[in-house]
Amino acid sequence: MKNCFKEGAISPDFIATSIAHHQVKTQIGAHQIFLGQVRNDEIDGKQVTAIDYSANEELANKVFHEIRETTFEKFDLTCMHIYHSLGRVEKGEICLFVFVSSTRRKEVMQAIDYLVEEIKAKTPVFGKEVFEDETHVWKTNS
Amino acid sequence: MASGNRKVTVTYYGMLAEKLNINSEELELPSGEINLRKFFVNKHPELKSFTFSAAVDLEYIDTLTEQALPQKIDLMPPFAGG
Repeated sequence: MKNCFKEGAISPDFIATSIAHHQVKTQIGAHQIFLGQVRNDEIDGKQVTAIDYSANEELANKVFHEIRETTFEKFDLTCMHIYHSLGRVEKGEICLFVFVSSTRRKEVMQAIDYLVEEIKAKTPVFGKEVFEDETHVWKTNS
Repeated sequence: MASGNRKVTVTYYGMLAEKLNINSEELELPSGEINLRKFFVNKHPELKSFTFSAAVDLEYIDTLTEQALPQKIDLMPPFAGG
């Protein structure tokens, strides 16, 4: 089972390199990328400075695999990549990188929306929103 | 009724682990069908006010059948990925 987790933030360099790796796949005509970024929400007057992610990694990687399989069945994609952060990710940094490619644009635009919604709903990832004073609250997806 | 050993490892995640102050424990499950929410709220009343889901041997499940002999149960709070 592929490990979709990366320790810490997902760097812009990693994303750029992933894009560059697809330039040899010349049957691709369209890419779509979703980047989740840690937002400095204000909660009860305190600013979120980071999110500390944890996960049920074994189950999450199984769920990522199942979501990938279902997405490949539903859409005509050439390739698909999912990376999610574990551990502390500072505000403004990237915590989720989803990348799909196809011959045509409509497939990737529909696929990315489906994929991100599935990931948020079904993947057992948990996040502590950490404030500047290092206290925290637990984040839940709406 | 299942005649095998119903000893399981239960792992708690996120805010559940924080609330209970444990990450995992070994439990002997009773025989018969088990509603997992009811069972764990009964075992740990602190969980009553929490929303949580359960996975049994890596499958999301609400109720354990009478025949089930699980190895592991994961209790998880609402997800926050992305």
